[in-house]
Amino acid sequence: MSTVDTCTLCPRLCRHACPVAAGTGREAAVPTLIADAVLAWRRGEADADLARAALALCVDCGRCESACHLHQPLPDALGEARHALGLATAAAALAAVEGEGEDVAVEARRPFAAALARVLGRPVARWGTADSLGAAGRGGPGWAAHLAGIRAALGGRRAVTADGDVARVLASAGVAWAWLHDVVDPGGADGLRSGCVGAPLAGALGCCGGGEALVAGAPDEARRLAARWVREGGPRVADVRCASHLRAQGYLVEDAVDRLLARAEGR
Amino acid sequence: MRTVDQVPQSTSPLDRRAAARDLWPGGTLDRWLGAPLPSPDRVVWPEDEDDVLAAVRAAQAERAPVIVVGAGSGVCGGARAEPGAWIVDVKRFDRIGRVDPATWIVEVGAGVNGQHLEDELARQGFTCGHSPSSIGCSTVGGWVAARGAGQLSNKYGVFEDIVLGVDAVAPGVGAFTAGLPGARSFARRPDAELDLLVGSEGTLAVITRVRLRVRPLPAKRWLRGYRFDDVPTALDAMRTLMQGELWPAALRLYDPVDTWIGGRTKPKHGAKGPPAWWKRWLAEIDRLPAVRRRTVALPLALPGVLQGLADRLASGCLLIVGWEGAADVVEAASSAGHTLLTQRGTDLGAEPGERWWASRHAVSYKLMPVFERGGFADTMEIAGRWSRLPAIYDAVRAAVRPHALVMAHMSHSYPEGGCIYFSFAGKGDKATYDAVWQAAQDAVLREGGTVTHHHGVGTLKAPWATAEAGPAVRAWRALRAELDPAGVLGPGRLFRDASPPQAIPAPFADPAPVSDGLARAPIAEATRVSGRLWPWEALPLPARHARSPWQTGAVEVHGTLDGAPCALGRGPRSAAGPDLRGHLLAEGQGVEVAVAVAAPGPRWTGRAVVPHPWAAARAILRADLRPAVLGVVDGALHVGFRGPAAAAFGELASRVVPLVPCDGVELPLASGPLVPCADDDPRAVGATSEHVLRREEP
Repeated sequence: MSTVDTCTLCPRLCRHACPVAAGTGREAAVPTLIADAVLAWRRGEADADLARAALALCVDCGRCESACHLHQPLPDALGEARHALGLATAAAALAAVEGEGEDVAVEARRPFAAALARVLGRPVARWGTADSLGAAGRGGPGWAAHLAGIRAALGGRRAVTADGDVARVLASAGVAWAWLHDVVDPGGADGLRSGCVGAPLAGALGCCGGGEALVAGAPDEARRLAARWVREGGPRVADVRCASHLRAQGYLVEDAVDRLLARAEGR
Repeated sequence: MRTVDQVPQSTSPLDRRAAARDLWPGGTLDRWLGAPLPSPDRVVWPEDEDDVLAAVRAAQAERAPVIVVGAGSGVCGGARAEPGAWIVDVKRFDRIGRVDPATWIVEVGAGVNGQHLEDELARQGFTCGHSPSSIGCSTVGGWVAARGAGQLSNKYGVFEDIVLGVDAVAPGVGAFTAGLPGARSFARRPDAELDLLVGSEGTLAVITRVRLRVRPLPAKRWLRGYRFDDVPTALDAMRTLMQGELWPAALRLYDPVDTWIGGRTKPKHGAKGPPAWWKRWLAEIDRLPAVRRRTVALPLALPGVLQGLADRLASGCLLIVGWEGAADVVEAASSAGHTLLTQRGTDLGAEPGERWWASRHAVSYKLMPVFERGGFADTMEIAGRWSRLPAIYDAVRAAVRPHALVMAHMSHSYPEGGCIYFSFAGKGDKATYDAVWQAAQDAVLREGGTVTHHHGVGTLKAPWATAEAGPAVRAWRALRAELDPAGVLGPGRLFRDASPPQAIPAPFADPAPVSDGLARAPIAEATRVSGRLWPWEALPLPARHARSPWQTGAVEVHGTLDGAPCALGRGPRSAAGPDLRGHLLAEGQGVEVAVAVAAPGPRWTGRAVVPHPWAAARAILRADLRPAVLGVVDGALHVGFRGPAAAAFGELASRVVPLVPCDGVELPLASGPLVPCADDDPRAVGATSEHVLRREEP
């Protein structure tokens, strides 16, 4: 028996927590139905394309697991399926953490360590990553060892990120971590919206649609989520991944790194 | 004119597969056993009423069955696809409006997820009070379509008490409004049709938007557990609470087997259990697929033995009771209720109640392990008058016992009766599954109960719902002929095409005993029955938006239609499909009705002379009080309460309006067509929490 089996039998109790299902109304995006498509492929009842199309609807935010009273690790199970279907790559080797400081700025997509050090008035270490700390490697071979490597590299220091993919990996590794906007402005008074990772389960919309698999595999849904995100929440976001997606959709948005840089430069 | 090609839709295998089945456990069992899924032709996601109309008219032209789906959480097969069908998925009707602070009404899209609705209402400081265990996986439109009931229905009402008006689309007439209108100008249908649309399960129209009554978030919540020796004693205590007009929000009785399996009368921590090494060993063994697939199937192959063992080991039942709302009202009601309950039950303290509250939406998680281990689990919720509930309980247990393990809880109560919610677990094969349902539904009808309470009918219960409604099904057929002349909406759901003569069992045909809180009389005399619970001027009642959720009218209706005898209202809530009692009242010959009557006991009445008495009446209703008497005589407001907390409620009402105690009066509540009016309108004749009301002028 596997997580996928259990989820297939579930009355779709995590549906309210899934930002793609809630934001698009598309039944196939409900996590238990993605599990069902994967089960059908594993049983030989459906071809691999059906499972691939289902997996494209998952942005890997982890909210289904958070909402599950049985704590089923569906994100890991779907990660395994992605690897088995050739949709995911193993995590790249981790770079070395550079510099000193109790906080480690994990720089994915945009650099911000220097600006953060200036704003906080203390040293901040820098950790560069080209693959969001190997986010796509979830559920693949060596995943547990990869997470152990992250724990060792941080050595008890706090990771700071503005990237949703990185945040998910840090949460899986069980290390201390914080969103950049919370570090810069504890209490969230600057009005930035948290990305889907770590956001409360309440509310219909927890994702802007910026998952790479969603953008590539279900562009209409990615566009629909982006439009709703901006309509209901405005143009400020915490997550640079969200910002990147929303800009690609034609929206003018401001993310946590933009805010940090403005503050560091005294604007 | 929009065409269906302009409506968002998909014919991809992924979307058709995702729409194939709802949450009917029989379908889950099929899926688990590897049976092929029913495959619809296309899935349509309308975003407004024009989209819906384009879709249903195109389906009509192609004679394609239309299955309307929200979250697909129905457990009776109503939202299950069929080959060739078009799925109309309404989840893109997902807007939640602002609560109108003047009326406490909100407009909501039919596709809004229940949990999202409550989250947003809470953000605005309100709740609609509808809290089913499926709240996270069901939609508002589904609650209307299947006449849902939440775990706090004793206070807030079942969903037809909460919904005040709907917008809908039907291929025969286009977009329309029934009940309280909303922001959009659609054609108006008669108010009485709202009672047919609620519970129609997608067979009459596609519901797109609803208007709901909401209440401020409760200021206080009070929860407690009590132990009773047996089910009949506990049921009697529940009846006393409801007929004492104390209106607890939660009132949940677990029978001995359910109490035992749930461990609900024992402390969760500190009790001695098996040693840790034994538990670890069992867990290891359970991981082996060959073992795991049989761990439930093997014992369930001998259900009679298992049931006998469970019955011997189980003793005592747990009753969870909870009040919530305005703090002083909760205090007065819970104090009187606690006194009543401890006369025959044992107080277990707050912990069982708080434990239930914390896990109240988690119950469905228990089903998966049963399927995984080679069994099936399903539930059946039925209702009956208080005097019939023990017999129905015994009859269903006896009928199911040869096939499956059965336990029950009772979680929706009314002054006249309540709901029994049976849970079955059996060996995971379809023959056993079908035998359980046949035996259980037959037993309910035979003992004078209603075959469903809040899960709807779907395809699963359609034969029994048709037998229960009998000749009155003609009202549904007549409306369907107008709204959906080609019959494409939900074919095979709800009612069967051919109706057998209605079987009216003796327990239902006999006049109800007084303990049921019912009195039967010809319709012309029914409003003169002494001590009526809600003394209406006349029957039928005004539209839903012109009365309070707890104010009932004719509980049972007996008469003839086209020369055939017909009796409706076997339970306090006759929820096998739409409420057809209004049709029998209006169209039947020789009609007799059973109305609810008030229990003897304390009374309190006060009067006040205030500038706008009906606005003052509304203020009392908004203070979370439920007066039995609410009327204006010679410009003076009269307010009366009954039951063990009558004096306390009277004192609380006096803080809202300066009431002076006076002699008791029985004032009729205004009937007939009523419409909202200004607080100071001299023509005002009534009030709800939402509006002051006057008679509609021709």
